[in-house]
Amino acid sequence: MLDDSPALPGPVLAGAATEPALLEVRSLGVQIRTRRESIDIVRDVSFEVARGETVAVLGESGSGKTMTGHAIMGILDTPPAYISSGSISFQGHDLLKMPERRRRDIRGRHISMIFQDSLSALNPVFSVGFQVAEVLRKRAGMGRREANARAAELLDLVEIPNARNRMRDYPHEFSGGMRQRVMIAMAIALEPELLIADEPTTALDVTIQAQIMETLQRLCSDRDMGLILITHDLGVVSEFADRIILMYAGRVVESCVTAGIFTQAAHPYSRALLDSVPQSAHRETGLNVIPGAPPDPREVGVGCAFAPRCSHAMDQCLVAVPPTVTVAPGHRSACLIARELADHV
Amino acid sequence: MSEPLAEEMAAEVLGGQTDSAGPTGPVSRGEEEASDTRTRGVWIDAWRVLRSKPLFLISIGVILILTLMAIAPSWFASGDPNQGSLSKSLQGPSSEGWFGFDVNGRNVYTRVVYGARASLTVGFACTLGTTLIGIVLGSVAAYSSGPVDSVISRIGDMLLGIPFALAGIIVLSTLTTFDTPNWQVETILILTIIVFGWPSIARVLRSTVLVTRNADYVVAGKALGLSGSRVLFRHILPNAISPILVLSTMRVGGYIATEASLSYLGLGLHPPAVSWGQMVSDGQPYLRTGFHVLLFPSIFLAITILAFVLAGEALREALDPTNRR
Repeated sequence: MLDDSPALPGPVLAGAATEPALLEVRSLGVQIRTRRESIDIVRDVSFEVARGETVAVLGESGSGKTMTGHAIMGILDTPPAYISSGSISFQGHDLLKMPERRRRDIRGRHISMIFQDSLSALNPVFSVGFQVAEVLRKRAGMGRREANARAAELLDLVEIPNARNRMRDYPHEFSGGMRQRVMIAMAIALEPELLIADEPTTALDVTIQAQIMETLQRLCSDRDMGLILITHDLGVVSEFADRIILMYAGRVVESCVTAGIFTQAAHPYSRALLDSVPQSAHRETGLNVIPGAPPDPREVGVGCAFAPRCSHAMDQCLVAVPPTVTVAPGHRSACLIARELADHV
Repeated sequence: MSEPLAEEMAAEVLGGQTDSAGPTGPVSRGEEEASDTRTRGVWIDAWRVLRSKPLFLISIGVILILTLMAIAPSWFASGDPNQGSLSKSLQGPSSEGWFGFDVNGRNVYTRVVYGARASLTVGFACTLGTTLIGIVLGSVAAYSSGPVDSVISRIGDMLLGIPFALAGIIVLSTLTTFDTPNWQVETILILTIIVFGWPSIARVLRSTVLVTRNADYVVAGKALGLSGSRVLFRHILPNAISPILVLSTMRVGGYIATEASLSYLGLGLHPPAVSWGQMVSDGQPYLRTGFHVLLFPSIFLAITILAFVLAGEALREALDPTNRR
């Protein structure tokens, strides 16, 4: 446990009535800095994750969701990416103020990550058993024999059939779904409290997707583990997430419990997203696509980034970023007409 | 029952580097579990593949025999390589001298055997030196980037512009005379080749490390909290090393040939030392009357080079897991 480590710098929580959230991201900003310019990729993103909770960070490509995940993990490609503002506190300790050594110790042990492309995220020259055992040997101080036995248990736990005999196989000898399970085994090897899954099922077909997500969910509830599910797939979100953080052009536009976005979406972007989901009713009319394309992060103006594509856009939308308003308990939206949208189901 | 047990104990003694390819026959459930959870390092897996490759075994066998020849030439040939009787001058191969006699009536077979030492020393030392320096400087350049990378790369580019033979001629003709002891000549020759040879290794390694260090599994290793050096040595280098293996083994021949060319030009080793290059050089004027004098050292040179190239190629294939099964 992080709290048991006496040398960890962090606030003394004397008199704090409530236990700190597992993860608390406050006004996070991430910039890509080149010689000529600084581009804001993530702007003023705030959210919390509690133990045992699955939070979906939803957004299309380029919305900054992966960058947010990497920032939490501390694996931003620096340079050119820098954290420009905000704080990320994990169990009450600010990760961004921590020396790199402590940060590294937290990676894998307390916060872990699963990547989208499991073929490239596993080292091709080592057997999967070696790679899972390596984490245990190097990070948990286990001997080779103990680590191998534990690795086999872990592969068993993530439902790899015949796990013991597959320890010696190489990543290319596994199917995509099985490789993703190996990734999960590695990520949970040190029993982290928080798991970040960056599009874990995007490269897989739908049936495998569901199986992997069920495995993930089972592991999270068994271990009371928080899960940040970075995805663009509304279907996965609706089935597995407790809460949704919807991102657009680097900002959180709406955040609510999962049911909320389906029953009282309070942002034109989430409404448009829901409308664009293929349904049998669309058979005659064709898909309702959102007109236009997501903006280039360089060209996001001072106002609402979605305004150019928004059917409700007003003049005020372009003047300043709409303030985030609470439309219902735990349901926030960054839109000037959020309340009207929420009420008008 | 006893066989896997003995194997496990051996594994313990070997510090856990288990090679469990041993018992493949039917084993009881408990033993199966014990052996199947083992994972092995990349080298042990590679060795398992290599030992079933006949080409690799043959080439390694050839290299071993040649090495033995270099260490203990008297086991392979009797007599003094520098003693001959002029009455046998340029005699062809016979039962008395399998490879015939050279212009001074010296036994060519004896001389070929004794010549292995100089040629192999140059080949091994240069390969080891260039590869080590190349790997260190190449990965440092790729990993540090910025000014360090620029300095290493530019120095390498400058050295690469000068061919070995030319560099060898310049350095040897400046630093050595005919009176310089042979071991000094050989050391200078080896150092010259290393100094001018590392950049090509470093350059290849730098580019493969640059590609590999952005691979997802390197980021994943970081995300699992592995240390920077662990990621570099266990995850980046093994993936970046195979081009180097091929390049290095292919160049063994080149280094031996460089020594041969310099000796041929009269700049390398001189009598009483014997080297294959020197023998080729000696035999060249008698191409028509005593072809065997030139032929046999050339054959040995070619076989040595071929053995190293084949061994390197087999090693590269074995280290690539996609080639297994």
